[in-house]
Amino acid sequence: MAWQAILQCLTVGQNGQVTPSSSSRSDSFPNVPLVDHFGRSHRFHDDFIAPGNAVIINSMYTTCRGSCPATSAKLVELRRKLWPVFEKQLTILSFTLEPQIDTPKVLKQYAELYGVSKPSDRLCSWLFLTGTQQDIERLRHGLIFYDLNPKVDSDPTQHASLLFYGNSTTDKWAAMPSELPTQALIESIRRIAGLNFEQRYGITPDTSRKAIAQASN
Amino acid sequence: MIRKWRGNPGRLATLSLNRQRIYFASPAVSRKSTSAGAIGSPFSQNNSTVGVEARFTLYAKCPRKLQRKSSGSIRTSARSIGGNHADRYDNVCLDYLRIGKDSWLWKFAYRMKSLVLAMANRADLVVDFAALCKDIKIGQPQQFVLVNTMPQKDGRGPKQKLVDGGDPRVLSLPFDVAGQDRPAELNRPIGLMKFVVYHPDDPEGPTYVDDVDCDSQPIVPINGSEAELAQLPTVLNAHHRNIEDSEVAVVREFIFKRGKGAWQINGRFYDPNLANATPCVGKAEEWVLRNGGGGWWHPIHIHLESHQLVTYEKDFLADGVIDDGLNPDVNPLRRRIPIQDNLPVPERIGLHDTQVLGPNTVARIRIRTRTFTGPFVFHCHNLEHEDMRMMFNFEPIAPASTGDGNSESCDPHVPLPWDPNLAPSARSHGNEVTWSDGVGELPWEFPPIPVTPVTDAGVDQIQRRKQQTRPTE
Repeated sequence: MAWQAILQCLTVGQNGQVTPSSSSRSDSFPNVPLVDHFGRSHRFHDDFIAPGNAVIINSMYTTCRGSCPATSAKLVELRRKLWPVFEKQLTILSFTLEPQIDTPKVLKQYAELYGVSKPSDRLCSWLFLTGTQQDIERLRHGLIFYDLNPKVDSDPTQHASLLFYGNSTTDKWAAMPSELPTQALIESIRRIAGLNFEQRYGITPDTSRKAIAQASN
Repeated sequence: MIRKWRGNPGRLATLSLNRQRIYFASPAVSRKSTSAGAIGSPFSQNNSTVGVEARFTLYAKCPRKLQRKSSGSIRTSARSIGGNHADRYDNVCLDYLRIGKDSWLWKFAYRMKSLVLAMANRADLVVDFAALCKDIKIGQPQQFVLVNTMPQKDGRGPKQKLVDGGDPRVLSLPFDVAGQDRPAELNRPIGLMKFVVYHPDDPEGPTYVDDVDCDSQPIVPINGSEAELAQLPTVLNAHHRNIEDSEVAVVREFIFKRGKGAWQINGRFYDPNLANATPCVGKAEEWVLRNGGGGWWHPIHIHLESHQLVTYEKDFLADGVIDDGLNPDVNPLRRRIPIQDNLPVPERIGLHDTQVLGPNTVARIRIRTRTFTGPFVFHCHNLEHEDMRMMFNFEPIAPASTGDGNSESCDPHVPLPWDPNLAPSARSHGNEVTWSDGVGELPWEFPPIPVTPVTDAGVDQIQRRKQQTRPTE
């Protein structure tokens, strides 16, 4: 019976009826069910916003002829350049804005264009996600991929060039347009989404006893 | 929310809002002293509860309740304000003197009851607590609260301007009592800072550590027109010179607009490697700061050099047009009406470093760089907009030598030795950079510059971005 009670508490918390006093930014990310381009099912918050996992999130749709291809091309580059820094601790998530068109099968074809058809051991993990229209809307609003102007909001091209990144361990989150120079993006992603000192600053802190003694003096 | 601060009657307090310091000046009474405190700046930055624009008013809270209390300590008085709805206070809107804005202190003082501050705007105020607390008694400190009567919920300006200007009804509840169903600050003036003023001989009162000599020149309070102000022999007039039409060498236009889920100037995101404008040191430029629509407010903050406001225009009819937010259809704002004459005098005269652009507003400013070369930024001071790349670099460059050893003159009729659209060698204006990086920006032609009074500024001073083809390998 004990585990049932715990489960109940969690459910209440996710419904938002019980708000913890020390809420973090990532608590507001919805835990919607999603399917990736391999056909595997995920829960957004449980699977991706887990402690110790940094994410880059963007929105796309496969028929986009505007900024999506450019953003995806940028992610190809980021995926390769950030692997030495994050290795398996960074996941790139691209969720579709047109889930009725972008089924997992369609997303798989799209992913092949960018070399994401199978898992790689030298590139950061990259998943294309789809779900029901309602869940995608919840996700979009939870991640602030929306515009207050309803006409702009209904135009998916307006949301397609933003990269949203961070991790729930440090609970730092930021967004930058993917059109910025790659180096600026890498620097910002490392600073914000980095889980440890080395990932954030590119140097290893000296934790030797001598260095600590010097610092304390 | 309310910071406690102890003052003393018999001296003037100069509040320097947004500079986050308080200092005392001209104590003509027995104890010459100074005290410094700090106010946090919830109103100087953008957050969702206190937004782009804020109106500050100083209210007196007449201490009827306090007089019935046995102890007059701060702790008691603070609790009595916050705790009990039934205890109403008389709230009186007080006069204070304003002696400066942004980058400049005036020699005259402008008497006012409230002022509007956009983010990054500063106001220098003088409050005469001695005059306010003539009948103060030992053990009965008096309280004053600086409140914001223009709270707002998002970056589209204050939705509901609360009545102030002496109307005590807007403060029917104590300021710092949280509402039941919604945050109190959304529908009630926000108390920002509380002053507790003690009798000079009050043992509970503050002790001062520093003696300070103060400027003994009198401050002249006036309510004059701009013409009357111009006649005053002020510090402002002694060093300030309006930049005339004939001095303007370059006209540039900057459109501040939401785009692609973030914030852009002229359709471009901030890139620290670009020089988006290159004024020549010593030459005057006219910048057209233009709100690109969407109902957003943008307080435009320019670093390095103060500027003069030339015109401030708004197309009121465009406010009713639903903005579709899609480039390149920046609203042409053809029915602009000059409204700078409606601004309070302090918003018009002198030197500024922040212009708040309301919806469908065009501010025309003139700026002359004098000192440093190198990259400096200007940006929307709504921090969310700034962080989301609504920022540009401008890079003053040294005037080129004329060859005879003399540096180039600032006469605008002399052909320009520099191309105002050309960046220094280490930087670029960005088209080729963005393209070489593999991601081109969407083509966007600027709408024409609003009619400028500057006739000899040359043509095509603003680099037009056309759709470029990717260079062939």
